[in-house]
Amino acid sequence: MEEKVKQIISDLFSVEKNEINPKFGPNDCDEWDSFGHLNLITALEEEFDILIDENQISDMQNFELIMLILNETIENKL
Amino acid sequence: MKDLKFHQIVKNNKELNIFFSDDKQKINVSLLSNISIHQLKPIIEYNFRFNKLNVDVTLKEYDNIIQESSTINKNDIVIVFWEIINIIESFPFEFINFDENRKKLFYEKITGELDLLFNNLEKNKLVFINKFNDTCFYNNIISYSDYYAFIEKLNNYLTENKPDNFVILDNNNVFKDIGVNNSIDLRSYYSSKTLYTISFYKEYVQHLNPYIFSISGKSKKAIIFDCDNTLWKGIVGEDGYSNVALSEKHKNGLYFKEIHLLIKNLISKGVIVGICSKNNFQDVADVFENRKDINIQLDDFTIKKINWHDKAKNLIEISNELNIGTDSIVFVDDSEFEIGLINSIIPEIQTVTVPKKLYEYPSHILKISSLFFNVNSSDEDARRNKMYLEEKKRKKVLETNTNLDDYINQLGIRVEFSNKDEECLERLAQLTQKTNQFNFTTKRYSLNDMKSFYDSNNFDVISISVSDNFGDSGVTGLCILNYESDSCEIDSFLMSCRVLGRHIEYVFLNELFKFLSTKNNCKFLSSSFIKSNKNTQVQTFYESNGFKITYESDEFKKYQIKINEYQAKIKPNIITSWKKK
Repeated sequence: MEEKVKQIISDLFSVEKNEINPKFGPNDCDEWDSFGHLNLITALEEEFDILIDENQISDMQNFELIMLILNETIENKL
Repeated sequence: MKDLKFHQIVKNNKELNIFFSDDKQKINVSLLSNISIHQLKPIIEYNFRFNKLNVDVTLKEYDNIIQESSTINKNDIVIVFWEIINIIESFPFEFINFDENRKKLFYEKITGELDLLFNNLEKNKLVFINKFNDTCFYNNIISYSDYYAFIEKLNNYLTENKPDNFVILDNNNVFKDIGVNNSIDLRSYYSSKTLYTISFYKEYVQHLNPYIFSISGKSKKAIIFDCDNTLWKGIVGEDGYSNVALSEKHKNGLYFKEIHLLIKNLISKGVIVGICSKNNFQDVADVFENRKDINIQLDDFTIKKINWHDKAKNLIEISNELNIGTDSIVFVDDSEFEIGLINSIIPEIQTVTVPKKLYEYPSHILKISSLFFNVNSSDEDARRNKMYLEEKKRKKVLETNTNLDDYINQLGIRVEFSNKDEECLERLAQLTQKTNQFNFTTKRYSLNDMKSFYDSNNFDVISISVSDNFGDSGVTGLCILNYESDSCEIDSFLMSCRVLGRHIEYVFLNELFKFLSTKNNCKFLSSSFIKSNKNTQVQTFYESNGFKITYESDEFKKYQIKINEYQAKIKPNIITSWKKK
């Protein structure tokens, strides 16, 4: 799953997958602005067929947090 | 595009943009909206870049349609998303509490703004505006009928007063295709005013295509059909003209009747319709001449390539003879092999595979017919010369490459040989009874005949199974060898039409000689061609592969070749093996 998330970030924001460390976030690339963030949420929801809780969307501010919230969301779904 | 996820579209879109360096031909698209539609930008760009149109999409400022419309360049194509749900915050819910006076005020406000929009954009190349839509406010109960009436009234105003360059799109058409719940996301509407989903956008852009293609000279001009299992159900060369299904008289015929009716309609609209089919010309002509229940005539087809050449070559000829670019041709075929061939050699041709679920076939073709749509033809005539020149260059490239071979190499064809294979005894007898076209002697054998060949030391029965990256075609060819003293006679040699045109016949022949060279006492191979009304495609096969003619009449030819003198004319890059006993 980590790989898939890295792929999505890499596709959306034109960064290499190996640049994506746990703290990688909006400050590390220009394309990750507020529109970019919505695109990321849309792409993650599409990829994993989930709905991310509205209140958590703005918390997903780096790769580590994204993984945390994604895992939580997928667990809750099951 | 429907198979791509959003992040893949974003990525592919960036990659495609690299190919466009020349800004002269660029189409600029401006998006005006009172909801958030930023995700539409990469999807529109990808859609047009994929179709070789250089495009840039600009998102104008959110919820400022009228003022932004005054700043748009006249050469731009404009798309307007003006959503009634967000005319003011919570509009539908406010509306149901409005008194008549307030309703009237809002009607005048919106129509007044529409007038301004019309005025600002009437000189633009093309403007798309969506019909006002009530679908997001579903409560379809009578007490809200005022709201629907209000929207209906606005739409009437829109239709009656819009300038000629405005095209009204109806989002209900998208909802019909993918469903309202897949189109609208109220959660993201409330959180970020993003009303529509990615699935919606992917479908929505398909509705723009006919218009955009038309003004960019990319409308399709010709549709070319294969025959067997495409214009009718069945194989005319095998089943005979009276047995193919093309009307309600035969099972599955109705689908094809509807295809014929669609073809008639396309012809009446000036679309060129043609045939490109591997068949004997007379077999195809027989269907049109003899079937009373067919709705079209052979003469309705402007261009016909009914022969045994590869279809890429035929389609290039069609584009030459019609003097249209290959990118204005749509090609319809039931065979994944043929479709794959065209996609690989002439990717500009839009290909359509006849759906496996035949009941989807007529509606599929109906949908495609919008690609032939033309907004105005003079614009396109101006581009014709340029298109023609580009085409000439492309043709040169094709002629210098042996692309059929390249394509066959990519397919990963595997041929497995077998001798007197017990498992397919029945299938082989059946093959001799059913195969007409690639069949040198057309001798029909029963199961018992086949058994006696298997039991006799004087006979070998070599069969082939063919598979490739598309799948497995099964046992599709056979050769019966009859030994007498120091020579061997090919009694039967045949292959099913399912695997023709892939050079498998050469593989078969080459392997046959390899097999015979291991038989020490066998020095000569003789063979014959017995003419039937179906097997003209093989009548010069032996001589072109080095056999000497020992007897020749109109109906019959005999050949001989010394086995150790055979030299393979064509050595296809196809993997062969023998089945383990």
